[in-house]
Amino acid sequence: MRIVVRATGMLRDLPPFAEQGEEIVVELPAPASVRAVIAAAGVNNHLVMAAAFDGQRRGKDELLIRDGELLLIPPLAGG
Amino acid sequence: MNGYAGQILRIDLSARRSEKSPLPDELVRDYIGGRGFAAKLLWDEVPKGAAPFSEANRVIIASGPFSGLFLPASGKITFASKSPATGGYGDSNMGGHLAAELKYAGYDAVIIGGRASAPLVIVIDDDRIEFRDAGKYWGKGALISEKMLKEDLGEDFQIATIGPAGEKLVKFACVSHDFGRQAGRTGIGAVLGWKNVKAIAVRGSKTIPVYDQEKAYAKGRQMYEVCFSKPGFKEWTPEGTAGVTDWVNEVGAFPTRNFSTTYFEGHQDINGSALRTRIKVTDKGCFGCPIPCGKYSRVKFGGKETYVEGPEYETIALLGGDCALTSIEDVAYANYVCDELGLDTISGGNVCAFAIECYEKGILTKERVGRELKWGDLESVSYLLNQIANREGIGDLLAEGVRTASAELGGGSERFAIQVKGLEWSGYEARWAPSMMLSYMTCDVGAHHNRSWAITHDVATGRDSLTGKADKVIELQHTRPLFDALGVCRLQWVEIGFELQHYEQMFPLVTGMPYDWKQLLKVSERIWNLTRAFSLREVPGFGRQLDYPPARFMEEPVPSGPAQGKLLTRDKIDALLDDYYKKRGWNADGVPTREKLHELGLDFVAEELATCGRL
Repeated sequence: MRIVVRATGMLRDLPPFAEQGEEIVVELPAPASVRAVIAAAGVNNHLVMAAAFDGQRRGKDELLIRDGELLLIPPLAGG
Repeated sequence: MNGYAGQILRIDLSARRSEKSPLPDELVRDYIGGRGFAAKLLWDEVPKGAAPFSEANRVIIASGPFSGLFLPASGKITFASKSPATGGYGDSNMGGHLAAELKYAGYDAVIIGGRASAPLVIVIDDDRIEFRDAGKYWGKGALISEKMLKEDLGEDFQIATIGPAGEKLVKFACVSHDFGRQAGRTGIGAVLGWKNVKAIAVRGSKTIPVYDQEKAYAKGRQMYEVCFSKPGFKEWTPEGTAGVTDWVNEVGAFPTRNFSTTYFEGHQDINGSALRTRIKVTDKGCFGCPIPCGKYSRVKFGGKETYVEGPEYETIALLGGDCALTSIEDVAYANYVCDELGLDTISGGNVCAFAIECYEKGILTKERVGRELKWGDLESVSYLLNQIANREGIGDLLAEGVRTASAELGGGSERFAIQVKGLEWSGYEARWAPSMMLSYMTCDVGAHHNRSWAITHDVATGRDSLTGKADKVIELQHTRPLFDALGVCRLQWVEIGFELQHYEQMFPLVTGMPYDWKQLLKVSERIWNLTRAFSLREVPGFGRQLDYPPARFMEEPVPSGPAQGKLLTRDKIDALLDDYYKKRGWNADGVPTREKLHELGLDFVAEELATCGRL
């Protein structure tokens, strides 16, 4: 399974995106949880508030079973 | 004056008189607008030692150069006053449509002083200023009053109101507008209540001059396009700030049962998903906003349908987790109660949670309260909020806030009176988040998150390390409040990563002033030091002692959840403060040095602090 991991907001300014660019490609066997994909991309799970797989919001424990794009959204609040 | 309406409106309530004056060039040059105008005008206008509830105190309402213009979310306005909650500088920023309307009426700022002999409504209709009897609105809720005033004056008026809590001088009474937007913090609703101002209604029909209209329009268009194209734009809006609830629990920072712990087992029933799927009717945004954070919701309570804007994250945290309410419907109803009574949901939730813990520990009794108090019980919360807003029974004491209430109740309750400087703590518990802790400790108005929301910095750089935390907090304390001076919402930047360079590029196009971002940040630093100085001048003992968090956060390890066992001991707190003061150019008591004040063009502040014996 090939997942293109992208980031938004402050995640783009932090490792690994700050060093590797806007996209990180992860290849791993299906199924894999969103949490596992995030970890495989080298991203700190605690810096991800939510994720969207091919435009659909997914919980971190949901399983991905096919190729696609995973967008990572950092914690957003703070008034 | 490009970017500005060009006038200040001064209102003397005692004399029922108004006066217009040109906006001073040096005020614009040195303080930009919004919060900057408010800070300087309060410093100049409020005599040293004036009581918050006095004719000499002022309420300042100020927009910024971006307010009301064609760029994303340019609908922000600042309300400021000497705070009845803290005795020091107080301000609160509000969205909606009032900022734009005030500028269209021809005013960048309104200075309200004196005290009316009877309740009134201030009507600002372009050049016409009128004082209307408020008898029929007095005693009514903030939301109902706004509706009545719209019916009486016209739908095109933008209206700010206070509720019964403001009329009864509750120290955390807010100013309400647009049926669910509030200038919530520091008790400015109570200052208006003391001055007998039930509402301010504004209608304007003028235009705002812009330095380079063609380029500013093109830039504004581009800014919207960039916002719409941001990854995350579509994902963020459906839940707004409520979407962060699960994450705050995951990292062990969620206020739970009066901050006794930091993970709420019921958080999935009060989170963004519960809001979106169970009660949300529609999104609701402020003037010019491309990412509406407001969620208009409907709940049934007692067989009756109730509509409320919210709950947003802070309300979920303080009325939800902190009072242990277990459903989004209960939180939304408590939100509605606060909005109608004119209470800040952050302090309101905090005070209720404090009272419930006091009851649990036997410090408050059933006889004194008038009923049992329980965690997770909407009736307990609703009862307390009503008692507070009407200053009935125990509500009369709780209306003073947790600092004063704990001082009277004793029994060790000051340990869990969760406040700094007299302002109750907002939605991020920080025993395992040193830069967030420092943010709360050093926020100029008290324990508020919006000046420096640094918890992600803690997670990214190490939550057990103190290194670099002060630098980040200072950087954020200059960047984030700058939005409040410009009169624009910071959520585009915070939430979807909209770049700061757009504001830097827009500023000279609007104003003609050749400030770059670094120079704008210097203005923000000037404002930060001025607000600190205001409180140093006004509050006896202000300084390091009032920067400390409550004892619970320094002495009680988090008992459960992801942050179990964590705390920041007093020596770590002192290390954070030492580093922060040094990097700010302040002395060990947190007083800006004469050199720092000179560098910022604040020699007049140094002179006054010297005469007060603070420098």
